[in-house]
Amino acid sequence: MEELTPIALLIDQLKSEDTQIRLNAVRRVSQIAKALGPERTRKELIPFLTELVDDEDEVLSALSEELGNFVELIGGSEFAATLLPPLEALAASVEETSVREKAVNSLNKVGQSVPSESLKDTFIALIKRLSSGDWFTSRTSAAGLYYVAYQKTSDEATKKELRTSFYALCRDDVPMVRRAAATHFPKLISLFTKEQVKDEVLPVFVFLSNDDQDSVRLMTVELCAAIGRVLSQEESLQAVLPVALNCVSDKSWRVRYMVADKFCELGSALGPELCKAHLVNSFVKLLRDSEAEVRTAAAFKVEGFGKLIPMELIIKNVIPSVKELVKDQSQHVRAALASNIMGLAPSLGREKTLECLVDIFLGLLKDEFPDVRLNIISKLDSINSVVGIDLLSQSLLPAIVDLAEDKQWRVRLAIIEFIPLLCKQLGVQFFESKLSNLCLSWLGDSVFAIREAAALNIKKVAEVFGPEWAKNNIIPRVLSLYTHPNYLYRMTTLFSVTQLAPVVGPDVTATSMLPLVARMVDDSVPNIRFTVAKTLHALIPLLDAAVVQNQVKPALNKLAEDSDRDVKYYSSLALQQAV
Amino acid sequence: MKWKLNQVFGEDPSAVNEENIITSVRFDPHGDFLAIGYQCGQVVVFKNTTGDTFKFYAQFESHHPEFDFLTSLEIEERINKIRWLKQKYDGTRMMLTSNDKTIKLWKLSERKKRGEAENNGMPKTQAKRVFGNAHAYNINSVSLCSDGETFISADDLRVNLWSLEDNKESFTCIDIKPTNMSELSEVITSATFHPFLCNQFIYSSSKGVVYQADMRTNALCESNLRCFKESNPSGKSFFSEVTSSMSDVQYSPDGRYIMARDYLNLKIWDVNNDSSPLAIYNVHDHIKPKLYELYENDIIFDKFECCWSPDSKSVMTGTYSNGFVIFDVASGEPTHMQAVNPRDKRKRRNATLPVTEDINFDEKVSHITWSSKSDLLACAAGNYIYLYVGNN
Repeated sequence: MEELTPIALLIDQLKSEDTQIRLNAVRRVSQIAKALGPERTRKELIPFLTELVDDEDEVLSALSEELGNFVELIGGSEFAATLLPPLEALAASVEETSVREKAVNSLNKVGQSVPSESLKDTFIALIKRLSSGDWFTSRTSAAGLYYVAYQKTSDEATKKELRTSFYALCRDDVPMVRRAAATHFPKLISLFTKEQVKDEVLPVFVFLSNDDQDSVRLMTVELCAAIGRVLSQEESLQAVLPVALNCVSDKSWRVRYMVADKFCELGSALGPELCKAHLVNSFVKLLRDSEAEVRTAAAFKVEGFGKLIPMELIIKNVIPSVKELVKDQSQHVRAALASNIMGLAPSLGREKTLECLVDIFLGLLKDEFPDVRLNIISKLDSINSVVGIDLLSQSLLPAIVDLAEDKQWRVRLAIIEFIPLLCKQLGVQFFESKLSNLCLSWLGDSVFAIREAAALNIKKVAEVFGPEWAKNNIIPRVLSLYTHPNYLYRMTTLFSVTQLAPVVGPDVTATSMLPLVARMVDDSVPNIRFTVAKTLHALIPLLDAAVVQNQVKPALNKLAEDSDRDVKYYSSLALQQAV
Repeated sequence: MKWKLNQVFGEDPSAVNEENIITSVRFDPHGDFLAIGYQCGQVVVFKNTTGDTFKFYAQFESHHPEFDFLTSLEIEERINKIRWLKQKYDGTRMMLTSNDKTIKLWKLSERKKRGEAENNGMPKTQAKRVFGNAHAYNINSVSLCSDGETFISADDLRVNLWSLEDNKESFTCIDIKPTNMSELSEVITSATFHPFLCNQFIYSSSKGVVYQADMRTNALCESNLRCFKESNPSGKSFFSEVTSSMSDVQYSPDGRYIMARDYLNLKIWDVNNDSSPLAIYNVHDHIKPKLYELYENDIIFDKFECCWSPDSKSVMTGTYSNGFVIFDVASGEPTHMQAVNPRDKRKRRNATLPVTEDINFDEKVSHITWSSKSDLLACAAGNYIYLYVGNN
C-alpha cells in the first residue's frame, strides 16, 4: 500500500495549477519509477505519462528529457519499446521546437536500446508514422530519427524503405521539413554505400541545392562535404564540385557564408587534387566577397585551408588577397584575419614567413581597433616556433605598451593575460628592461579588475622566473605600495602577498613579506585591518609553526580586540586556524 | 462578383466607444478564422463554422498600456497589426500581434489538459513569446516570411528581422536614420515580405516610393534597392507631398504585382517594371477640392489599408462615409460599396454608388482583409466589422 502513495502524490502534483510544482514533479519522475519498480513503471506509470497533455512547454520539455533515461527503469532493452508511445506524441505535434528536439534526442537514445528483432515493428514503424504525419511538426521530427534506425538495421529491404522515405522528406512541401531533412542528411550519408550515394543521393542533392528557400540551400555545403567523403576524386569532380562552385557564387550571401565557414571540411572531403585545381580560386573569391560577413568567415579559415594546399599556391594566390584584408573596412574582418594568419607560418616555413607574413603581421599590429592587435599578440607562439621573437620584439613592445594603456579596461585586462606567455618566450632580461614597470603600474590601476588581475599576473611571472628572482626584484616593489594614501591600493599589496606566498615559499614569505603585513595591523582603515586578518589566515598554512606562534598570533590577538566588528570576526576565524 | 453583407459584429450604433475602435483585422491564411484587434489592446477571434458564417471563438487581452520611463511617454495598447502564422499545428493556431513597441506571439490551443473539465469549446490563449525592445520608433508593420521561421517588423526608420524561435536577438536589415536627424526627410510607412520568395521584401515611404530589398545581397540590405515610383507624376498640387505618402503596400498573391495606397490613389506596378506604375486608380477624387480643409483638420493624414483578392485579379481599399472600393485590375472598373449597419436608424443611401456629397469624414473604412476563400471579405469601420460574401 505504501507504493501507491508516490504515484498518487505524483498525479496530484501533475494536475497542480502551479507550473513549478508540475515541473518539479516531472523532474522527479525517475525517482517514482525506481520506487515502483520496472513492472509497475511499465504498466502504470508510462501509460499515465502518455496521456499527459500539458500545455506548458517547460513541463513537456522536462518530460521529454526524462523519458530518454528510462530504459533501465522499465526493465532494460527488452522493454525499451514501451517508452516509444509517449515520446512519439511529444515529437509529433507540440509546436515548441525545443520540446520536439528533446523528444527526438530521447527517441534516439531509446531507439539504440531497442533489440534488433523488434526494431522494425516498433522504432521503424514509429518513424514511418511520423514521416507521413499530417502536421509538419511530426515530419520535421522524423528526419532526426533516421540515422539511429538505419544504423541498427541489417535488412536490406528495410534499409531501402528508410532511404526512400527520407528522400521524400527532402522533397516535402513545407520548407521547414526540407530544412530538417537537409540538416540530418550528411550524417546519414556516411552509412550509405557508394552506389547508393551515386544512384540515389545525387539527384536529391541537386534538388536541394536548387531549393527556393535560402534556409534549405544553406545546408547544401555540408552535403557537398559528406558526399565528397564517400565518392572518389573523379566522381566528386563530376558530381560535387559543380554544386560547390555554385554555392560560392550563390546570390545569397548566407549561402556563401556557409561555404566559407565549412571551407576546410569541404577541402578535406574533396581531396588535395581538387583543392589545388579548383578550390583555391573559390577561396580567394570568398576572401574578396562583397559582404563583410562572408569575408570574416573566410578570414577565419586561412590557417586551416593553408594546411590543405601546397606552399606555392598559398604564396601565389592566397597571400595577395590576405594583404588586401589588412586594410579591410570592417574591423571584424581584420580581427578574424589577425586571429588566424599566424597559423600559416608552419605551412610556409621560416624563410617564406619572413618574406610574406611579417609585413602583414606588423600591419595588423598597428591597427586602430584593439581586438585586432590583441588577436595578433595572442598567437605569438605560432610565430615564435618558426621565427625568433627577437626580430619582432622591437615592434611588439610599442604595441603592447599601447594596449596596456588603452582607455578601455577590458583591453588592458586582455593584455595582462598575455604577459606570462611573453615572459616565457622573451626571458628575464626583456621582462626587466621593458615589462616590469608596466606590470607594477597595473597594481595601481584605477579599475579593481585590473588590480586583481595584475596581482595574479605577478604571481604567474614569479612562477616563471622563480622565487629568488621574485624576492629580489618583485617583492620590494610590490610592497612599496603599502604607503599609498588611498586604501584601495594598500589592499592590492595585501592581495599580492596572498598570491605570492605559495610561489616564493615559507622562508621568503616570513622574511620579506610578513613584517610588512604585521605593520599594517595598525592601519587606520578597518577594511585594511580585516584584510590583514584574512591575509594572515591564508598565510598560516604556508608558514613554519614557530613563525606562526611568534609573529602571526600576536598580530591576530591584537586585531581580535579591535573596535571594528568585522576585524574582530576575521581575526577570530584566523586564530582558530592558528592553533 | 456581387457582394452581399452577411454578418455584422459590434455594439450599439448610437454609442461610439473609443476603446472598442477596431484597429486591425486579419483572416488567417486558410480562411478559417478572423482576428480583430482593438484600440484597448483586446483581440477577438471569430471562427468560420458553416458556409461562411462566423461565430465567436476567443477573446484575450494582447497588450497593456505601458509607460516608457526614458522618454516619459505612454505606450498605447492599441493593436496595430495582426498576422497569422501559416503553419497549422494539431489543435493549435498561432498569430503575431503588435502595438507601437512590442510584438507578441500568441498561441490559441484547443488541446485540453488531463483531468481538467472540458474547456467548453473555448481555446486556451497563451503568449508564447514577446519580441520587445527593438524599436525606438512606432511599429507600423509586421510581416511573416515564406520560410515559416522568420518575420520582419518595421518602424519609421528601421526594418528588423526576427526569428520566431528567438526573442533575444533581432537584426536590423534596413536603417534609414540619417546621421544628422535634422536632415530627415523620408520615413518608412509599411513593409511586407514577398508571398513565396524568402529573400525579398518591399517597404513604402512617406515620399511615395516603394523600395524592394533583396536580403541575399548583403547583411544590411540598403544597397541595391529597387525603387518603384511614378516617373511623370501628373497634377502636382500644393498638397502632393502629403497625399503621396503611402499608407500601405502589398504584393499580389501571385507575386507579380505591387500595390501601394496613398491618400488619394491606389497604384499598381508590375514587379518587372519599376519606372512607372501599370495603373493608378483614383479612390475618392471627389474630395480633392476639399484638400485645404482636410489639411487644416489633419484628416489628410488618415491612413488606409489596401488588399488583393486571392486570385490577384482585384484590389480593395477603404474610403470615407464607411465606403470601400473594389477595382478590377485588368479593366480598372470600380465597384463602390458602403458598409451600412442594418441596425443604424439614420438615413440610408444607395449602397452601391460612391458617396460624393455630404461626406462623413468621421466614418471611414481603414482596415480591410480578404480571405483566401475568394468569396469572403471583411472591413472594419469604427466599432463594427462587416463581413461580405460574394456571388458570381
